[in-house]
Amino acid sequence: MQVENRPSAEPRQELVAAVPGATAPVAITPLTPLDSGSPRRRFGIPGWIPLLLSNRYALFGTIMLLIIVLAAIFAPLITPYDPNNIGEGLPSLAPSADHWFGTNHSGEDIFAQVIYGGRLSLLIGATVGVLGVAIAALVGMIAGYVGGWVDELLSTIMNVFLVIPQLPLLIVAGAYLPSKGGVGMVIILTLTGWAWGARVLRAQTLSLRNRDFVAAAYVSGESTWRIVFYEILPNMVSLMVSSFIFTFIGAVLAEAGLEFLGFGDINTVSWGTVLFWAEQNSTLLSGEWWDFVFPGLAIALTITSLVFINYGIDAISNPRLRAIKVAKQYRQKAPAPVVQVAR
Amino acid sequence: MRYLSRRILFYLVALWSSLTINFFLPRLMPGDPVGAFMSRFRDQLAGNPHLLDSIRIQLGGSNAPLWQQYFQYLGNTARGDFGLSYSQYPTPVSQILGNTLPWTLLLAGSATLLAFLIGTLFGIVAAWRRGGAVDAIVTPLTMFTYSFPPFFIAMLVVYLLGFRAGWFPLNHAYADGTQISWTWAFIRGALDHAVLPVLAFLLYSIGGWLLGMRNVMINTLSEEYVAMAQAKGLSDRRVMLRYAARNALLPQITSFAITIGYIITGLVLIEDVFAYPGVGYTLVQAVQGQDYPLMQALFLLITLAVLSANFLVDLLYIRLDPRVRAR
Repeated sequence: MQVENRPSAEPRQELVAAVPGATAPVAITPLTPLDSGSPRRRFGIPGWIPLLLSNRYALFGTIMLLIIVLAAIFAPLITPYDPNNIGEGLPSLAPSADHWFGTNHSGEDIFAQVIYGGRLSLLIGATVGVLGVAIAALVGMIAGYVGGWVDELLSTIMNVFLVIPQLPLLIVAGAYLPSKGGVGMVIILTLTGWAWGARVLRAQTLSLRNRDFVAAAYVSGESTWRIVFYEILPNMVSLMVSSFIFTFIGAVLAEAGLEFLGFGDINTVSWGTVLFWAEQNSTLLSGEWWDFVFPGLAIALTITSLVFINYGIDAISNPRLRAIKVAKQYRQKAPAPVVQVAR
Repeated sequence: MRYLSRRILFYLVALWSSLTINFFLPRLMPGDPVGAFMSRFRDQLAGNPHLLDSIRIQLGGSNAPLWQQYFQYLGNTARGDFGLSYSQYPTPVSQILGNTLPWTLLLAGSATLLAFLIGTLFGIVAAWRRGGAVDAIVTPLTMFTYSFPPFFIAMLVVYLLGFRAGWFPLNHAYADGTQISWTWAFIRGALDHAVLPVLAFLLYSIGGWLLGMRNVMINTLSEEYVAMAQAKGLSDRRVMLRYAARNALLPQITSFAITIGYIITGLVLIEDVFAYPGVGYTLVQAVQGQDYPLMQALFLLITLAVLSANFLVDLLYIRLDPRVRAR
């Protein structure tokens, strides 16, 4: 866009010649003006997607997640069975060609339940992820940028939310909640799930605030909100995606846990409720392993795919981890990839 | 010391927050827990409004203004008076807490200790022999089981080792027909019943310790003092344990603070699968039975346990890392 205005990166001959007493041509790179860049380009989404997919872990995770999401969206095209219809088959059938994952006690098709069940679980997870990161970014950036007593206050709130155990709080809050459906679930999961992301984003804001480009923007008279949203925010996209994934993982697990305990709407079909009914019907003690193994694996595979994507993002946004690939060619014993631990 | 006093202040704020959440949550939400409980007896008590009122007050219902109730609640909590349980009326809540706590300590304590020891040890070996047998098999395996929801691990353990193999009892905490006492029959039954829940808990929490230790250890191994120790000709074992692992342990201890929340989540869900009568299972039962006083007390107990564990880790950290003491 501004390419023609930029001076060429090569040293200009007249400058070289002008250096007094220069016996050999000394390369002097002229100062390039501060790259104010266009904000639209700096968000750079098209730039990092191929980079993400060039990472084996991330590619594997993305493909796996895509399959799960597509199966949930196009569930009616994949299976002829209705997940809520009692008597799609005889009760308690083992997996077969007709019923790939078998049937449960009421004769509902478990394959249909698993792929339809993904709809609610993934929708709640993604919604909580988006809302949680929005709150996290807002709180984290305000705390990190404003500093002072505002930071003290917000950091204390974050840390209190982090230290109060999440699942018991969810159970207690859920006990008083009038509606047990998806909306109530999203609200309490968001309220308990934003703090970790906020802490990470605050730390990043704190470190970015002292960089030269922010100082330059400040000196050139940019307003605070412009600095925060156009200078700092674009540099946190990868961290925000990573917090989104963490919040997503936390929400899927917490939602499944709550539903498994019977604190969700037990009449809807989601991975957690399928497992709840599997336990209620004591399939563990009647040998019907298919009733709980398949929905459980669906959750585990979803989480694994998200962890892999996050690992890929981490490797891309952290150049030190990326450098490992180059170093591998020179060193006999390459350092093994560092595995991000989600807790 | 400034560090420590700041931490203590923070824990007090956190404790006050959870007490306040505990107090206001039921009062903000629509519905009246005391009224709901009373309605079970409405027919018997219909002719006697005074009796109704006195039971209401006994259950913690009050007509006093909210702020007065709040301070009354704080006072009662400080004295360990949580009122009477609804579901096991008229047992005091504090008595039920006393019965559940030992089971949870047995389960979570032994499983966490084992997970920490085994996970850290495997983490050391995996980092030391990167790409070796342990690293190639155990590391990816734990990465996968680490994504399993805790109740799913518990269900798999029950199904495979309890139901299929029939090696251990499937649920509950002690043998049917034995009384809680210090007799051999009871202790043997309790240990027998603890095997599967402890194993499930171990499988659930070992991944974090293993992967965490491996990460830090990999960084530590590239430090110069490790190279120096090797150059001095010290034995591999000594370099691995005394030089690298010893220094990699510190972050493991700090991460314990983060792990506690994770442990509690697993505790609630795993106890539920095994109907193990600890704090987590009782909490679920209390919510299902709309036993609000018991539920609130359990929530407070869990929060208090988490805060004290965090505080202990802080103290340990100050003891172990001289850099913190200087602050």
